[in-house]
Amino acid sequence: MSVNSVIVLAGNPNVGKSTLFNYLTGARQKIANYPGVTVEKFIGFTCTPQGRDIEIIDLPGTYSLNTKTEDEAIAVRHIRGDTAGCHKPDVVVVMVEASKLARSLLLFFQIRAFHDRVILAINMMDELPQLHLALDLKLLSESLTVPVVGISARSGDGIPELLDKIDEVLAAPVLKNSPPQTHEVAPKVNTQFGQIDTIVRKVLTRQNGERKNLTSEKFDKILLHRFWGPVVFFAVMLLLFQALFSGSAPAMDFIDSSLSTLGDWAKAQIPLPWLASLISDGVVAGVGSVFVFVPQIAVTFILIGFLEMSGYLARGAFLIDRLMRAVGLEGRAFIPLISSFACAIPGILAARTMSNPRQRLITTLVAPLITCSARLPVYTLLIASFVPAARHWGPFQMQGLVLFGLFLMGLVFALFMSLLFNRFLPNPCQSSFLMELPRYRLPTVKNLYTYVSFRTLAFVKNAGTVIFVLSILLWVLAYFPRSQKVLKTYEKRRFVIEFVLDGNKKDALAKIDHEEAGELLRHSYMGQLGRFIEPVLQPMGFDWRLGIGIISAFAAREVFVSTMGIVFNLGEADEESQSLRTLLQSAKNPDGRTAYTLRTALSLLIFFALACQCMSTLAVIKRETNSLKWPAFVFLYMTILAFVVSTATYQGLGLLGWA
Amino acid sequence: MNLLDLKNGEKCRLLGLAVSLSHHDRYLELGFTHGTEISVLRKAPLGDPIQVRVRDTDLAICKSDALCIEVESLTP
Repeated sequence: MSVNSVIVLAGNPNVGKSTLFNYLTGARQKIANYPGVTVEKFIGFTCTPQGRDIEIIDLPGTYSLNTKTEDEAIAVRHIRGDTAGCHKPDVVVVMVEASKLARSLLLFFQIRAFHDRVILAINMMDELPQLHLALDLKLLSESLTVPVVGISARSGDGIPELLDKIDEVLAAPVLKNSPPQTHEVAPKVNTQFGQIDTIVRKVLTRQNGERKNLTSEKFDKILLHRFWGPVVFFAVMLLLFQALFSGSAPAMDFIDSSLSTLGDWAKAQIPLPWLASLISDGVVAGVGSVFVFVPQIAVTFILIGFLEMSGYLARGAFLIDRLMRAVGLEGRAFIPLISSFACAIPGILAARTMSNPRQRLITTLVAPLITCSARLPVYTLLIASFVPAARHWGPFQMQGLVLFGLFLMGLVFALFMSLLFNRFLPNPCQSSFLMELPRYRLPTVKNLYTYVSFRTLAFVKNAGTVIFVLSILLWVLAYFPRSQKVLKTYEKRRFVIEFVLDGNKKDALAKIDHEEAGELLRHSYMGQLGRFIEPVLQPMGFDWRLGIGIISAFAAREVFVSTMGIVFNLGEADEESQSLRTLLQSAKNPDGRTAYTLRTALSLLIFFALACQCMSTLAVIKRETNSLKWPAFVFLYMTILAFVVSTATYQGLGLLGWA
Repeated sequence: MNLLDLKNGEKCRLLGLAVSLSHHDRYLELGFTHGTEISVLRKAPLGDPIQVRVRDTDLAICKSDALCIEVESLTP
């Protein structure tokens, strides 16, 4: 078995390591997890000009090896190779930015102390002419006593030379007389910078005059402007929400109808009725509800990814930090929170980049309150059924207003809860804000692709597996017990239609099927459960039918809609279904009064806005916090919050005289 | 004087770094060593954080830290 040589890519954040990594390894990459921590391990493979197979590990970006954060600890472990799973690499390639040599060489010096086969790769050489700077690579190489290569990871310039150097270093015999300096006291950073300054002064020369303003700085003049900065920021956020709503509709419709067809086909093919139902109504419907969202998630992340990799999100964090601090969060928390508008799962995963553990925890705890895409079908159904399409207060359409209000509500409650958590969680620490504002760069397609696919896959994997299990569980609850009485009754009715009556048999039979489905559901465990929890639902204005919907929504919120379709004998229904809307509006209580009014709808909308009905999110929280107490806590606090606010709304509106 | 006293566009030299112990190392790593030149670029719309340039890198620093960074002005 030939052992690959292991190359490790180290460097500051934003220096372009991922671009180089993607360029070198292309499709031959895989992402793993370091055991016990939530940092991703990027491994790729490529071949050098001399035919050596090399394995490349892209380390997390770090400013130094001082092991304060998980990222730095991982980097140190890899470079020293002293832990299981992290073998000492054959070569360390340290990447620095050409124009930021004076700062980024610190990491190089620290790595050099631990490893004797280092290559310095200087990225973004093309920026030097713009800054009127010239860099003497040969002199730098002599001063540092390591090979130095100038590259541009975006265009691929210099990368063949880098691979040649890797070959050279791998071919050279290992120096036996360089002892591992693991126990030596690390020289003080001040001293190291002194050395760095001396070297940089020698190799970096300024040509003809003052530095010009880079394009980056021109952008900042507008994007960080006192007035225009926030305006642009607001516009960008609006664009993001547009993407959430409409960007992916055609793809979603396509997936939806394909899954419908698949479900029907499966039902027709499988002889055993319970198995057919399990596959079609349980598995395909449940897991399908995850796949329907993939286009929406992907589109949203293409946008967020573009903003983050271009450097704009750092500016956003800069603009919004003061506001976030007012509720106990830092500016950087707004990226996980924004991502949560698509789905809380990638949002919570995005919180990994926050170095302050307390901030990361608070962000994770409030992210589920943000209105996610799965809530939209429920909102659409209820708003269309119960909120009048009238215009009040000038041009504002009521339905749009309510939707906007719900979005706002999620955000307001998230910020409010983070304020509370900040006050009452233990270990308050003064978190300071220190963040690099990288130069603006156009993201490469490869980088964007990696960014989006990783997050979308995370969503599918995490949500998919949990929803799969829950769909089966809920299917069991809704299918059993099979009331023989009901089945016999409908057999008779079918017989009558088939052989006795005239007229349109197909429609009549379909209607019978739907009625039967509704009856069976009412007699199932799920139906019994709905009736059982009715006392708890009544203060909020709900009855057992809505109860069934709410319970089924625990698999995935959007399942509420299809479940209500079945409860109301409609068979298949989605949020656009006019018949379902009509049935909801005209539903009656046993005593004959209208069951659901605008008051009910508002209460239910608020319940869905605040309740934790996403088991997938809880599963991700469990993984990220490595504990059971935090997901349990999230479930409890959100459910209590939903109950309280929902009840207050329903009862309060009742006191005001609403029907 | 401290970093917060400077106006947009002014340059200064670092004299002392009195930020809290847990963040001190982070500032050092980013190049905040004695005698380093710092340019103040702008403040955020609400006054916090501030954007500075140190060793060719643009950084956002919160107000409370800027108060603890002692500098001498290079602007005449």
